[in-house]
Amino acid sequence: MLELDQFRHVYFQECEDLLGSLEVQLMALQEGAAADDVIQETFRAIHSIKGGAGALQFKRIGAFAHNFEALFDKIRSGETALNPDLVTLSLHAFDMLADLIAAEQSGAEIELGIEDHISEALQEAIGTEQKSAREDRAEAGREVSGASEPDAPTLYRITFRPPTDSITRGNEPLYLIRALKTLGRLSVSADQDSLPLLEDIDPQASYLAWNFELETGAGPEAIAEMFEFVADDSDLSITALNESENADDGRTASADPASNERKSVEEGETSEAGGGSQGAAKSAANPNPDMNESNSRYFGATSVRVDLDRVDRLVNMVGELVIAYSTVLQHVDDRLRMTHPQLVHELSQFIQHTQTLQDSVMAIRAQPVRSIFARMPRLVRDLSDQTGKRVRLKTKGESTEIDKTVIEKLSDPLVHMIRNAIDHGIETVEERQALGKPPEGTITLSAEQIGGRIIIRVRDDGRGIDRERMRRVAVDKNLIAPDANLSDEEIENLVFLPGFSTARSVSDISGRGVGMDVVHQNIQKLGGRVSMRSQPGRGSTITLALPLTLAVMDGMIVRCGDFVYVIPLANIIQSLSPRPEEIGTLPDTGDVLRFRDQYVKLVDLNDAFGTQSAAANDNQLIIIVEAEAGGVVGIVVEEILGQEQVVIKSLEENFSHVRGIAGATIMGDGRVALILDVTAIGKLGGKRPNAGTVAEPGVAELQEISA
Amino acid sequence: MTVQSDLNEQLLAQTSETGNQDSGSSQFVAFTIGEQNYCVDIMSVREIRAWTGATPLPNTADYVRGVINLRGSIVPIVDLRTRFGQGETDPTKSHVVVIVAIEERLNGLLVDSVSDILTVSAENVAAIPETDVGSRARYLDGLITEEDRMVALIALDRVIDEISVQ
Repeated sequence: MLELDQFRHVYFQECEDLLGSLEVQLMALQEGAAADDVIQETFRAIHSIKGGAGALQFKRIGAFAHNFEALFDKIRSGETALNPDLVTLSLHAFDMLADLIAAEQSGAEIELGIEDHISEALQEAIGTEQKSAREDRAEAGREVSGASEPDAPTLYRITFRPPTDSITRGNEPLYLIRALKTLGRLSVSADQDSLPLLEDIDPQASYLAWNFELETGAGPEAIAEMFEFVADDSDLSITALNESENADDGRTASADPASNERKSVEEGETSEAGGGSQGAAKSAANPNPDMNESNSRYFGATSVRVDLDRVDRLVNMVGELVIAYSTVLQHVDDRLRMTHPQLVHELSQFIQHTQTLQDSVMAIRAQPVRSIFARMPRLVRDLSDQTGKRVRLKTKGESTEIDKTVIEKLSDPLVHMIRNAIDHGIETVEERQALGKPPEGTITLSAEQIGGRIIIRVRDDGRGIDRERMRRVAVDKNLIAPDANLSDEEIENLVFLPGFSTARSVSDISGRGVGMDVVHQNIQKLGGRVSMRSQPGRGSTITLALPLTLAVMDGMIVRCGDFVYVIPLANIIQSLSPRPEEIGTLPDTGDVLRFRDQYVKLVDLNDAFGTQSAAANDNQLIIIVEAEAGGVVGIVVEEILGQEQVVIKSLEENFSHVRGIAGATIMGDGRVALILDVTAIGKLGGKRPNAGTVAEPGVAELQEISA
Repeated sequence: MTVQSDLNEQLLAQTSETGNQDSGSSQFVAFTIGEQNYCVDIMSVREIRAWTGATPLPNTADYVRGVINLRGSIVPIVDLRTRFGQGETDPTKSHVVVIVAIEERLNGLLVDSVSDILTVSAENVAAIPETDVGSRARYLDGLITEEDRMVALIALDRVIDEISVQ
């Protein structure tokens, strides 16, 4: 039972990958690419889903996927020409397939027969009913097989049945098959007649026999040599064939759809047991599969699925190692360099390796953003249907890699951003035509790595932000003072304030005034930043800047009183030592600093955290950090101790969240230092003004408002 | 430090013995805060450490002394004296932190010293006398009489849960 659960689990994991790949292919088809490999890939993905569904008795998925697959079988054989209607139908079929799989996985009830109209449309598109489609396929297969042997050097038929214990004896038939392939054109079919029922299977045993057709210039001796090591215990026969025999064979092998069906099930199983070689389930419907390609896909699979916990443990241990080496480093002084030069040299080697190790371990957690980008086309389709707007989604940089934890938490914000773009940004077809824009709106979703950050942009070519209206709404909602002097950028970024929504009517899609606020919060929790830029009439761009990983961070180490804090380097704009006249004190806000034509609120860490200052600080330093919504805060510290890469440790693991603290880290001396949550730091310390009474212009005010 | 390691060894030995004992009796790690004796179930104790300082946490209750690094984990330290409303401990090197686990979450209890490991049968754990709003009693599960001392059994889940919630 447990094993079956495991199979299920693997199947759904694979389905996720396969659906992702399927969607990419379908999008390519929609873009007009009708290349053979795209169609083949589409077929293969559907086929693998079907195969696994068959093995696990997911009958609805299997039946539906079968119709879907049949369509692409026709298309790839050239019998049915691909046209835009078929692509649209395929996209609908894809959505339905995804729904069926999701329902099966979650155990949710999904209305019986909901997929029927699409199934029917698929069958209609094939132009025949199911059965004959299958026969056609067999027919098509026979033609292929007949055509596959022109004036070949010699065609051999080889039957090979290894002993059941061949695998435990170290004779892996796979290697043999690979070796055979080097001799010439090889086609393989597995004979599974002696395969027992699933519960009787001994995973170590070999039950299969193979029939090969090998087209080669090499003589029978050369073939026999391949089997040299196993020939003694195996049933092996090698016969040279003439052409007519082979054609007959092609017919008998392919005209039995039931056996093909069984094969597909079997292949589905092996691919699952193999733990993730999704390319394995090669078209079984094709009686003469092109093993060259199939092989490279199956055996070329170089990835493994690893439980995330294991990776995390590894990441943690490497983090410890990094701390340990910092500790060791502190003992390296000039004296040691003099007395033990060799030791110091070895140590530096060790440190280099440790750093490489750390990078490599971090890379394990990295995943391409493709997995979340792939979910967006469907969202866009659904939303265009709901709104009646025509929208196309372009994606760029899907292979950009980012930490898995970040990926997982990125999905919701992206959904919100795209909803927002379609609901508020893109105009209706009529509006767009009146403006002389193309009737179809475009949303571009892109990802790229710039320095130590991943930049994700959602860009639309819609109406952009009406700044005047934004401003009015913000004033109406008491979010800003009526006379606040805000730059265009600041106005645009008001959209991220909690409770801000300019939607005239609350729609089903967005406009509840939570969407963009949630985006902002989620991204900040990830240690990222979000900003909005807009050109009226031309569209808006929302930019997310995300850290590559959540596990380590570059930080500035500062001291305030007796305490050491870490400020994320990514948030720091500048550190400076102000002249006294640059600092002013306001009755409500506390101290402010004039910085680049803005007034910046100052937060003294001693005040904010209620700690004691060690001495009167004439020599105070200010670190200007970017807080939220593009706001800026100055943090007053007593000393900057340096910059260091720190491993982020959770406070929540054993305790709970603490306001103003993002986490903790362990310093070289083994002591704990707290990592400041600069986005929340502006809310700490200083006195809080009453809403609407502050007329101090600029960012300082915006900061207070959002507090 | 050697006192602590001895205690830890004893702890380890006792914990493994517990498995072989009949279920009628339980073991408790007893410690002192001032004149008062307290104890916690030995099964929740992970280790005993000497006080080496903690990094204070801002914006937390006064009895949270801060956090320490326990082999890479950040563990909060609770000053039990403050927790029980008896003022603040002024810790020295001779003060002791008892690391306890409550449902996988680690917490350190700052106490004056660890005194003993008690083996007590279940019927010898007396109920707390009922009080109306027993401010301290809320955090206790029972009373144990050891020789002529009274040892209060701390209800770790209640003491710690309320800390984490804050």
